[in-house]
Amino acid sequence: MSITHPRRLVVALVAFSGIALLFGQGLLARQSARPAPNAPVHAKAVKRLLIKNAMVIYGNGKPAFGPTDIVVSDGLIARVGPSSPKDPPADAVIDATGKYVMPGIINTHMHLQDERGGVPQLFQYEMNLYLASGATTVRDVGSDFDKAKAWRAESAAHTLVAPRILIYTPNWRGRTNQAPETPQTVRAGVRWAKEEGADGIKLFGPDRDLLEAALDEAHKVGLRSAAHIAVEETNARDYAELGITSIEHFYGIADAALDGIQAFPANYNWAASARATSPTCSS
Amino acid sequence: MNGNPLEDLHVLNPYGTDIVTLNGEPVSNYSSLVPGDKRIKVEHAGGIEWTIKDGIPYHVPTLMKQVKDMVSAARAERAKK
Repeated sequence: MSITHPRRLVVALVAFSGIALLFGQGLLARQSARPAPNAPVHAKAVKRLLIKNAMVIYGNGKPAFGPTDIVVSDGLIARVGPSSPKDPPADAVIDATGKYVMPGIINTHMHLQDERGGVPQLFQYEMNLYLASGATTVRDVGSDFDKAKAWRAESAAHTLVAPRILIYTPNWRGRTNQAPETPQTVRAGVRWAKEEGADGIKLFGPDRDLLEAALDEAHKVGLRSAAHIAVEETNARDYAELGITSIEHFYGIADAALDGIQAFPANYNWAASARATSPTCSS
Repeated sequence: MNGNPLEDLHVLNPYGTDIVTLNGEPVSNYSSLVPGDKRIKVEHAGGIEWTIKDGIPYHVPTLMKQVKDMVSAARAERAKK
């Protein structure tokens, strides 16, 4: 859950005495700049946190409502509603007057990393940016599995300042020396991912028979799945029919609307002509 | 904010990061506004202030100050090489 103070485009119609409005907006900004005596401390857990006078965006599609109060007790939302004088005192208070509170954002497609293209990058850098953007959960769809598991554990234990981490590992493939892959090797790979503690599997374009086996096994062992769709035997419809959790990137979604396959010219060389783009916003 | 709202009021971010208010009341139809109207004022109110995960409040200006420091340190390190 994150508290936002949306950027406002204030339309001051002078003919309707907009001066008072502008003064009011400025006053709010000054108030929030002054630290309150019982404001929370950054990254420090509090037993009982009170958020006062917030407009609440519930996250289920209904309009924002409020202002009202939110009590967070031992890390869980205990109540959304007006405070009572009988309430036990809060350990920290956020005055959200004039502000909104909304559910934390889940970034469904990112990669945990401490380097970019071989250049070291502080792991904390992106974690700060995700939290600052309101993301309280991130779904890692491909990274160093062992490092990712360590980071996930540290985030869960709050020894690392980072969103909650879910790992959808691509490492489930190629777990055996058997080549080519068969539905059996694929199933074994999915079970391996489950035993190794993955939250889900990431798929990169298996043929349909292997896809069917992988998703069936994932359902059996209780793993979710994310598919990178590119130019391949299957399209978005195959993935949807077989019960994929999410489809990443774009290629194959338009194909799913076709009856059959695209009418490419006989001399069309996909590799020479085009590359599938991945418009997923991601790091 | 995607782009400058004064240049094109019709491409305001549809995902709710921006709010148009008229005398303090949010408005949903701003199609009559003309870019360049002297009565329009853009006010940046600071974005997200706190992100709370598992009840732990993270102060966004503090997080962003740390990011700025990390970038400065990395650039200084690179300049030495």
